[in-house]
Amino acid sequence: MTFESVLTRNVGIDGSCRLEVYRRRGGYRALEKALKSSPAEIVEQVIASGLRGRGGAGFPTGRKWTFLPPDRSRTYLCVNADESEPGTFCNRVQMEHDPHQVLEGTIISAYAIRAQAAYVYIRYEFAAQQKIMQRAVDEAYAAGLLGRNILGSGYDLDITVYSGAGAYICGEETGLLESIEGRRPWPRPKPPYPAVKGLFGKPTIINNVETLACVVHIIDRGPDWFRSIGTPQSTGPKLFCVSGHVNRPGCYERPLGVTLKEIIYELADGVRGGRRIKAVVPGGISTGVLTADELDVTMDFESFAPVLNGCLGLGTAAVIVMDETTDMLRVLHNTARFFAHESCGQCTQCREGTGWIYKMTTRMLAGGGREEDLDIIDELTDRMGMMSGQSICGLPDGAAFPLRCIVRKFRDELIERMTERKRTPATVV
Amino acid sequence: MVWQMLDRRKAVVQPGKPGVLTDALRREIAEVQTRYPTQQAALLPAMLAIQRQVGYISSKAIVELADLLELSAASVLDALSFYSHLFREPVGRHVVVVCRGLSCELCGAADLLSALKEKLSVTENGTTGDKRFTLIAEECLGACERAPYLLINEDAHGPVRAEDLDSILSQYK
Amino acid sequence: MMAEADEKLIEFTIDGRAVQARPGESILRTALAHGIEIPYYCWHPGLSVVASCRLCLVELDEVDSKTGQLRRLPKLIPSCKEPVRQGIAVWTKTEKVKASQRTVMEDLLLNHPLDCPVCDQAGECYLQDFSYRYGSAESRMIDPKTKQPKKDTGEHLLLYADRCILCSRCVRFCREVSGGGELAVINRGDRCEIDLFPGNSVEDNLSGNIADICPVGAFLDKDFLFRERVWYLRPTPSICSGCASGCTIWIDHRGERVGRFRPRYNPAINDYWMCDEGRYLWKHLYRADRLLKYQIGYNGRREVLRADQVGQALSESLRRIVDESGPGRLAVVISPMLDCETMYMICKLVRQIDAEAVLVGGPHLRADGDRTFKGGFTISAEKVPNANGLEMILGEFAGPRMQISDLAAALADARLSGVWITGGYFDDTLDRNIVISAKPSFLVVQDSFAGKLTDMADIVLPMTLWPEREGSFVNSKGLIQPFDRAVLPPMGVVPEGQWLAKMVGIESIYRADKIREQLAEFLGGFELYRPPKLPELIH
Repeated sequence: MTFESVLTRNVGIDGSCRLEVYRRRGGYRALEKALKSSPAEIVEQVIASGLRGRGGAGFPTGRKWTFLPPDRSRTYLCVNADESEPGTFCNRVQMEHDPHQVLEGTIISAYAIRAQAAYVYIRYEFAAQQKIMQRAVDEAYAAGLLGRNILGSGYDLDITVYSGAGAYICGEETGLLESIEGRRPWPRPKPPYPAVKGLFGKPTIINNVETLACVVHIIDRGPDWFRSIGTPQSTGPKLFCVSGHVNRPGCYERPLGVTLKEIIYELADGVRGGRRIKAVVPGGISTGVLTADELDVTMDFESFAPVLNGCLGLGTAAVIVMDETTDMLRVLHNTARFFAHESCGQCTQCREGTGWIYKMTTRMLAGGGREEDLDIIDELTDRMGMMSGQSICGLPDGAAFPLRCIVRKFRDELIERMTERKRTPATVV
Repeated sequence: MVWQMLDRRKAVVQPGKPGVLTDALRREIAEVQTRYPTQQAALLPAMLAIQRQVGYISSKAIVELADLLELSAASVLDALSFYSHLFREPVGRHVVVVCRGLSCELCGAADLLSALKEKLSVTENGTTGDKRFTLIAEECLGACERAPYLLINEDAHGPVRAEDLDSILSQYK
Repeated sequence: MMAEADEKLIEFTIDGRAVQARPGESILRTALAHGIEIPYYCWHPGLSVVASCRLCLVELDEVDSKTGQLRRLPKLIPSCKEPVRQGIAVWTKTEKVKASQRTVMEDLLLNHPLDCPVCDQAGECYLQDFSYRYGSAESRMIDPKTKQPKKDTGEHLLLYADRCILCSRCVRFCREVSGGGELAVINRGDRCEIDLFPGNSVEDNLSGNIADICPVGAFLDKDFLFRERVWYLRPTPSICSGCASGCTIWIDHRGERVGRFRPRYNPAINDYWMCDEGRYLWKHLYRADRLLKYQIGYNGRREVLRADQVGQALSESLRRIVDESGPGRLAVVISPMLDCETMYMICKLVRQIDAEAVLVGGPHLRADGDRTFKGGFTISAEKVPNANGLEMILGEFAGPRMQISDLAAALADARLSGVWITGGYFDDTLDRNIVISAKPSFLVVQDSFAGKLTDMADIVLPMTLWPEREGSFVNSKGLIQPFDRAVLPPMGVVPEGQWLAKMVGIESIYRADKIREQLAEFLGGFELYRPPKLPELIH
């Protein structure tokens, strides 16, 4: 059966960002349909579809929506377009090429949760995409798809395109809320969860761009159609980002449950220069690193749950391929630097732990690394994280998994590299 | 032993000099304020508006903004200092951001950064003498399929090879 | 722990021990109230809860709804934030908890300078105490420590930012209690520091509290810098004399020398705080212009009296006035700086000598208005500690009264032959309010510092400052609060009670509670308010 793209169906189409082109190709049909149902019915359909959040956590979207208190008067929807997980760029592709699909999903979902206002939080570095989204929003207002009495349904919705300013932690739900509220984006301890007490203290849902785009198709074609794609526990299509040492890096739409090898060797046309694979990041750096013998896996939530070969979940399903020439010490350093740079600083173990690990890896690159350091890193990765209750948010979990994977799975290579550098220290760039 | 004691009691902002918040900026911020139930929520959009206009957010801007939004200057500094792309000091006319995410690192970002440092004669975070370029290295910019990737102002450049640098940079006067 | 009338206490266990708490309380607070130590930094009972230091994490068993059995939760729980629940079991000393505590302590000390030998906080530093109990003695980091600069952050405050552990108590204090919002966290990750906007330093009269709540030696009080090692200091409970709020304080003293004042918890008045004006009042004790000798003037000469001669010399002189001029020609100015007991004894003595002696209420010191800060802390406009006590006691004495504003006229008309003026103000209030154009034939001045009035007095009585005696003040809300004697007065001076009490019929050694018995009878009640003690584990 050939797979029919829905999320990327407008990518590459001339003028795809324009409302009239989007509409001509079937756009906003789902919105019209949705507005004829009640919000509760939309929620039911999304639950029935089995849609799981595409932002990294994979939490069932419809179920998240049911956490909103039924007696609420004010509700917010936040679109998480802060996409900063290394290896991930599919939200960007969607906003760049098909902003109206994202917008339609936003409006339908806002309607479903009875939100009066929605904020599309787009990271600073996606300035071009912010402009594209703003143009789409303007077109939607002009066409009565936003604002008062949308399509005569009586539903009012205002959307604000909101720019970040450069911080990975703003992709964390409550970090995003704090950022919008004008404070330093330090994630909030949970409970209370945003569905109960979110933006400005009101019930709030935060959903990823791709998740909301899926909602369009669930409404358009029905939950059963959505279920027919993917696996029973991971329904629907997914955008898989592939990058690194592959011939054809890019964003590819496939059903959930496609194999990792298919992504690497077919969609991305294999490894550059026909080289062998040394390591693969399966779902954005925060999930971890797989070795070349661990690649027989299907890309769905259940295969990775709770932990698969040291990797934490499917994450953003962003694949980064590292071939045999890769210096894993540099990868370790790169990973350590990322988390040290992005740690918000609130929780002791994450703030000091990521900083310390970064200092150690810097020293390793400069020729001063010791085996003992690898042991310390391994230990520290157990001593941080939200899953164990030690930290407020999931960033340190995301730091712990890749660092632990690299330190354990590539220990011999790391020791070899450290020894090499001790002999001939290089300057660290 | 060097005891460095910073004097935080001395004011750095002289009153009376011309304000950073022009009427146009104030109007823009006023529009922003209508979208949020609190004054503080207008802070980040307001800072971005100032930076778009002036290139950076000076101490004077902080004081004026704090005044406008009825916040303490410290609260403004709090939020401002957190973000990688909000600048407290003037930057060059063009901000060159090199991505050092894992995918770009794998595809040669380190060499690209070195080449740029040499070509522009600056260190990381430095600005060229003629104030044309500021060079920054940032974490994953979300364009991994175009690794190694450069973001100059709002323009995407990638994959960038060292030999392309001259022609890319020449587009930015 | 007293519950409201029909409020049911929550019962659960900590480390197997049965404890009780009010609904809504946190596990941490309950533990501390029961003397169970859970280490923490960022939590403070007077500030909002952020749960960011991660030191207070505990394990928790909750009742499984299906089986009815206790089930261990897989995650560690921050006890500062977790509300108490019926039937849970909290564990604070499991291996998991201890491992977490060791990591947090190691992390906090990672970039912390080894400053103990030069750090004021040593001896009352929770980094020291908790490292000792929950951490390890060595650091495994061989990389250079991240260093932050030292900052001058206010008239009374220094910030040694490299010692900071980012508990953010200071930031929350400025936002929630004082309302100034001067402090903030800047930067991200392990580059975070506490800072303020240059020019907007902490000058708001509550800044000393920030040095109190800082659990480490990051925020320091300039006044206390390098002065004392805290293990030599002993605390005595007292009341601040700066205004009528009557904030309860601790006087920390080394032997007979005061080191500093600190706030004492008082839920009825000042909670955990005190203002800077009150905090630095102790300096008055050591002013160069303190009166140190009891003196009596004879024929143009001043003779020094011993303390045990004062009472007799005083009453003889006063009696002579009554004999010579008749009753009603004696006046006594009772200062609102005095404590209730001393006020009462002076009035009683004077009325014993002259039943128609005129009682005059001393000058008050009023600023523009009460100053109330965001969190509710109030500095009274009335800058004397016992104005209400003065009203209460003078009000109960029948017989002749006079306003202070009429005193000058009475003296000018020569209606008074003898005047006994009490002062004890920190400034020149007495001299400003009592201008004597014509000196009465007999003038007694009882004051702490030399002034114009003491120069012309016939008898000079050095008055102790309140840390040097015991007594009680009635605050602006009518609470009668006792204070203990912390230090001895300067050599040669004795607490007033010692020579006054004998004059009013108390034979043995003076103790304030003996006078309080008399006061209770005189006023028809004299109930002292003593604030509850905070569990010592709350820092």
